[in-house]
Amino acid sequence: MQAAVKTTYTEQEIIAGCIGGERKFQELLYHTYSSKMFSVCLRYANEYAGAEDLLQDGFVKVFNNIQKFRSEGSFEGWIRRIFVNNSIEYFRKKANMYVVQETEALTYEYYDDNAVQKLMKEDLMKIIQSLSVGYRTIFNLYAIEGYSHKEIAEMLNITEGTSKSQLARARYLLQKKIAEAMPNMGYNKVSEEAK
Amino acid sequence: MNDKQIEERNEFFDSAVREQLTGFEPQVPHALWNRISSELDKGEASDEATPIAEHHERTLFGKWKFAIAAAVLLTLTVGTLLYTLNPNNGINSTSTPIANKVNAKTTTVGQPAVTAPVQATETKMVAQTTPAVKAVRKAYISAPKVETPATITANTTEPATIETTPSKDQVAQDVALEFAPVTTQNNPVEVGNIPLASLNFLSTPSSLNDEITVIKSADNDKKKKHGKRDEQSTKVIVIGKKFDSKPNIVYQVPVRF
Repeated sequence: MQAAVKTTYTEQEIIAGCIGGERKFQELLYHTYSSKMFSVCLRYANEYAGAEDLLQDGFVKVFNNIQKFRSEGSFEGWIRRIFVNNSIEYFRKKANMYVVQETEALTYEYYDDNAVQKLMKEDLMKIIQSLSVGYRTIFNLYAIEGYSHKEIAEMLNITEGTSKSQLARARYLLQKKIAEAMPNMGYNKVSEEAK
Repeated sequence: MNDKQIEERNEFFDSAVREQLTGFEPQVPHALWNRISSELDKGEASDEATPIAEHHERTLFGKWKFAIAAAVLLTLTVGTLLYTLNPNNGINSTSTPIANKVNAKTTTVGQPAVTAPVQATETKMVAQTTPAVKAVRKAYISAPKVETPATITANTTEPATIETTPSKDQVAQDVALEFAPVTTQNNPVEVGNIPLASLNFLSTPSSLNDEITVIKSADNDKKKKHGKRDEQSTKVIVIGKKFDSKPNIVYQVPVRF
């Protein structure tokens, strides 16, 4: 008679197994969070292959540093921060940040305020990925992750003014791209209906 | 559209994008886990190799550390030995200080006619008589001036002036040194060109019938080696005295001439 094999584990058990370097638990952790973290990576990368690289590097860092997790916050939040920081490193390597004039009060006037909700998630992701790395990173950090301009300035080693102006530019470009892309993506009817 | 309206519109846009992307979980490439797994294998392999290198570095460092510690220890040991053995440093490590400076009297005695050969037969006697050395010190300080014993033939043709001024360092040093025994039982003895008969023994035996043996003669060459130079040459003569079957008692007689 075969002994019952345990197939479900708690998060603590998975973490403990990963700390012990057991490949089985590392794979379990990977399959638990890979999709969510891949979403993060896709937002920061400009292409699918780049997002894969970010995901791979991020998980290697997670497994190599998992013993540093102190259970003070959620484990998912801890993993997410690792992936965001990993993406910031990617930004530092690739970004060529130019100081632009203050353009905070900037918006694309032809943008439909409800257009985002009408977009499919994959299409929205593609539009975000089409931004340059500087705009994309700052928009992600501010609009999605919820960091302040001061925090972004410290993380990216730029001024707050640069962060604000880059964010304004990023928003403007996103609105414009969404407005322009919707007809091409088959949203004409929906967009017109919305109007 | 004023700035406030633009700001509100932008905030609405941000929240719309955030909500739209919430819960978005794209399909992850299947081969990605294999890549991560192989990457972790590489890391583990390098981790296994690293301790060897670290151990090698630690060993090297340990060797250097031990070498430095040994060098420091050796330096300290040699320094301490040199300082301790230096008779000019005021530390007497070989024996208890005998006494403060003792000024002996000056005596004029004659020169012996015959010089006896030096024999190395009684070296151990002095080295083994630590209590005797103490007795010597006592006797050295308190012994009255007596005449030269009868066993030493004195032929006083030319007078010699001998001033005995011992120092505690000198006496202590001499006790520790190897002795050059000289017997004077039947022959007169000359020590360092000084006729034994001409010496004025401050601590000579109480009885003239005692056998007197010159055990040692040492001058202050050591002092010169250590950089100090005495104008006068000082010699120390160690004399053994036999009381029937009792152990020998040693007397040290420093002389200056």
